[in-house]
Amino acid sequence: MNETGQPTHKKNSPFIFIIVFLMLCALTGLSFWIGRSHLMEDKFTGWSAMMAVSVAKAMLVVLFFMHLWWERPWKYVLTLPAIIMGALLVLLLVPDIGFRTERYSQERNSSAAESRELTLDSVNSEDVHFER
Amino acid sequence: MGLIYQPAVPVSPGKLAVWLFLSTEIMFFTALIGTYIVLRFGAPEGSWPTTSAVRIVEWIGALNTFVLICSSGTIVFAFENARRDKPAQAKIWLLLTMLLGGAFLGIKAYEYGSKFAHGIYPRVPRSLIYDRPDINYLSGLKQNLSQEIRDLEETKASPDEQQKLETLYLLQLGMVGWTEQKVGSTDDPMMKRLAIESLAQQIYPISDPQTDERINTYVANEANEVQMLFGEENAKLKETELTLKSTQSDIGQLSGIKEPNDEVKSTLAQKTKLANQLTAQITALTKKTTLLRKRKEALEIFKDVHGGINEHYHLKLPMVIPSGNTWANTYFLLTGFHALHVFGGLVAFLVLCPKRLGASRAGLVENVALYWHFVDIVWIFLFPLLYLF
Amino acid sequence: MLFTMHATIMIFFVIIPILAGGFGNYLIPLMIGAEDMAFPRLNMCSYWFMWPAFGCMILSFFMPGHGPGAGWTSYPPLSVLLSSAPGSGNAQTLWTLGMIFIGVASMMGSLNYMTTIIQMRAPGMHMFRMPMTVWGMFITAIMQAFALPVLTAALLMQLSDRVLLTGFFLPEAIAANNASPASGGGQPLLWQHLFWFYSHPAVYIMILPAMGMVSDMLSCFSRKPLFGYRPMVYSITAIAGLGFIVWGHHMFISGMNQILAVSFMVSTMLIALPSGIKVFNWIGTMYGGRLHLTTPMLFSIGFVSMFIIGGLSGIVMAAPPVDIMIHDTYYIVAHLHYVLFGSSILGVMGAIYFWFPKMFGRMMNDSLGKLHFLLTFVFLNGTFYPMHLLGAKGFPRRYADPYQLEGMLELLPMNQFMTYCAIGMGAAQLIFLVNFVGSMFVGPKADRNPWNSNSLEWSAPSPPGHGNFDFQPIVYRGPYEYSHPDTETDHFPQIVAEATDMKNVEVNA
Repeated sequence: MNETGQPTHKKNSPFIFIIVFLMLCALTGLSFWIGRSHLMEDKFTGWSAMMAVSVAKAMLVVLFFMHLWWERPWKYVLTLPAIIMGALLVLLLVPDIGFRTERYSQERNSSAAESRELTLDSVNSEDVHFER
Repeated sequence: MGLIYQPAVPVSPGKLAVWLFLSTEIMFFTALIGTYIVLRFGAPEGSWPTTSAVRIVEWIGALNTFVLICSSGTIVFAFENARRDKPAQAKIWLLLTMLLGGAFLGIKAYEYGSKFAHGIYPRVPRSLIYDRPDINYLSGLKQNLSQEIRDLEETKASPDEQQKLETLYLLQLGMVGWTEQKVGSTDDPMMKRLAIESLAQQIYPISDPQTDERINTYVANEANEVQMLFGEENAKLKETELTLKSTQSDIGQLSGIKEPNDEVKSTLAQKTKLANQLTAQITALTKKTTLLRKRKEALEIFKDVHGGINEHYHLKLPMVIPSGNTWANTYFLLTGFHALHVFGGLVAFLVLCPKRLGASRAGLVENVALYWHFVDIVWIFLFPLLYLF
Repeated sequence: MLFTMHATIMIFFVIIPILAGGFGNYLIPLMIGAEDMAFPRLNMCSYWFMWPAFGCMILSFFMPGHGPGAGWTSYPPLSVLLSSAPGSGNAQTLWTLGMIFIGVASMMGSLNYMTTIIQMRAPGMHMFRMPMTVWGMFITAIMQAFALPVLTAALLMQLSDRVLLTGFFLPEAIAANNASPASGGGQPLLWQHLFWFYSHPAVYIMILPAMGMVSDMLSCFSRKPLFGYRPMVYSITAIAGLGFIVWGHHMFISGMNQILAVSFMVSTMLIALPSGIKVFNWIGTMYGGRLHLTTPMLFSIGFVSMFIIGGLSGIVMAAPPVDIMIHDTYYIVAHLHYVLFGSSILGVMGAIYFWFPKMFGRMMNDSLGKLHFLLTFVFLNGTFYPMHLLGAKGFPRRYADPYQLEGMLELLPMNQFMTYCAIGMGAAQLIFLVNFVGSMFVGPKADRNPWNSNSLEWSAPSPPGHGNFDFQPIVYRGPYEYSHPDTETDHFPQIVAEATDMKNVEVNA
């Protein structure tokens, strides 16, 4: 510690930041690539992979750019509860809003958006006839 | 008097406050992103628009990610230089960061502009986006179109606008009017759906090769049918016209007879009645053939317009994008508030800019940098969520 | 409209600002030995954000409909559709805007509190030597920091639903004024969840500081250490933590997922545990103490007893079947007023009597104070207790004329009785007003420590000048060392190093 209370962290030479920066760029490319690769064939796999990449990127930024790597873990005291609380909030929203279509009324369902495949699967478009 | 304190954590109060502030920001963005997640994944199954349906360009998003990561890197170097008491270098890195931040906002503005140009935005008084191709959409389209035409008719039309007006007339009759007539004449709900869907697709295609194939088949079949019908009806029209002509000449002859007897009188009455019937038939047939001709014309003209009628003719007619409204709401919500945060960061940089960024101000630079990194992290999550999912 | 404004103004402009804004800013630095808050300018900023908020609220009274039309909970679609009620136009928009301003102001305030408490304690003032008041404020600040941004985000979405006609909270198939058949895709329940994610913790935000202050007063006037200081701290923390996962109990009849409802019921009942710990600790503090029945002490005892009633009726309502029965009846009104008025406001009143000498350097009149307490306490119960009975009979809240319902007319006399009591309660507050203003000018001069209390603020001058302390406070022990065996006097201030030093302190003071 120096007199201003800032951690001195002598070890962090610019090279570390450049390496982290390059890794971030590479990871961005990776998530872009995942978006177009065969991983997206199974949506869930693709999403998980992309979120994993995003978490990795966020961790890199937090640990190195935000100096958490060199500092004592005091900062987790509030950021971690915030993250947990946030996850909990989203999780508890899922039953009521995430699964809302399961409890749509007939009326509401009839004006809700719907999958185009579902519409078109049930008709044969070659079977066009007109009333004369 | 200056009092001595016993701080619990070895940092300046400012830095601690920034970290606490970031915790509140986590909650703020959690609420926003959480809203997006539950609305998006809870949307009726399979209805969420693909990126191409809402004209999202993935690589522009990736470019913006890159720009923001670069700016995160440069602000780190600004802080490092300030810490080592090199104010001049620190300022250069800071200016570079501002430049990158500005570039991010510029790209964002370009993206917004291209959305707005398509009519994709939460709009007053009502959105142009409809969730499903139903009768509501058709009536909305009809209203919008006639409003557009009325507006154009009122202004003194330049040749360009005259051209546009012609297109609109054709759309009104050959596309919307035709569809309306067809929806009215069939009882099969799926047929109605298909008719409106094909109209919507021609106005604003949601590029989806598989379904497009069907729409194309449908349209091609319809074109044949229309061709055939037009031939039939036209022939009928010609025939009826001929009959009318002969009837009328008969009437002329009969009415030429002086002192007609009863037989002649009744024949004349019959012929006149027939002539009236035929005239009515001709009016109906003319109407039908006009509609068919307009339809034929419309199908030919609008057959292969690039990017749909809206884009080709620079129109903003209502379009069908399933869950498109929810998409637009959440997209503009998330990117909008993120952009506001970027803007806030730029203002903070602007305040820092005229100051000497020596070691004494390193703490200040670090605090702003922490905030900037947080903004970057939010985008790191938004990019895949909004562009790649 | 009046109900909405009563609720909004009381919650967001009276209780929260007085507790968190007023007492927080004043007491926190004094109690932990700091010269000021960590960021005075941020504080200023927060204060000036209150005024536009207040302005928006007042303005909304003068808009068509005279106040927002959707109640203080602002449920969509009523709050989102622009002409669903007379007050659904600009009045509602202004209300939303005002709430956003408050959100920002409170967020800045809470950052300031947390930083001050974490970083600016006097030497020796460990976290576990802080008075309960500071703990209450600290936990409150944390709750505000976590919960408010969610409400702000929800309000911003509601504002955009109103102004930009988006549809975050609008379901499909609503065909009314600004909702075209094409809009929708949102979910009204989303607002309820986000709203209660803040507004349930807000209940604790309103009561935790009062709990802290009451703990201090009870210990001081019982001349006994606070019974179970650490359990008290832990139970405050537990209340805060649990307070974040119980919001669903406001929504039992909203058509929410039933499994979710049951889990919310369980967490709601769990919150009775830490609350019970606190009540028993307060009683334990008083038990066997030498009670000085001063005005603040009376109010504190009033707080504890009212909190027991309010808390018990709360547990009753935690079960969905019961709640479904009494939802939106006067039972709920009774419960919330026992907690908010009976507890929070009584606590605040006591605190004003307690810290008045520190604030203005003069004592308040004790006889008038006792009269004020007596009248308030009696009329308070007279007003709110019958509401339990009315609620159990099914008397609905928020009705202009409930007597049109079958069987309600026989409840009229009880309602009349409540009205008289409420008028009496309002009149009793005039005594307080006279006492407060009068004592500011003619009350007897108070010295530094009129109540012989231990905590740090009583070592500072009364009233404390700029910079709060005229010496460097150093803390040697917790704030509740009353009747310590080593000392001759019955109090043992935090700044005194050894029992033998007590004599010098007395002389200096």
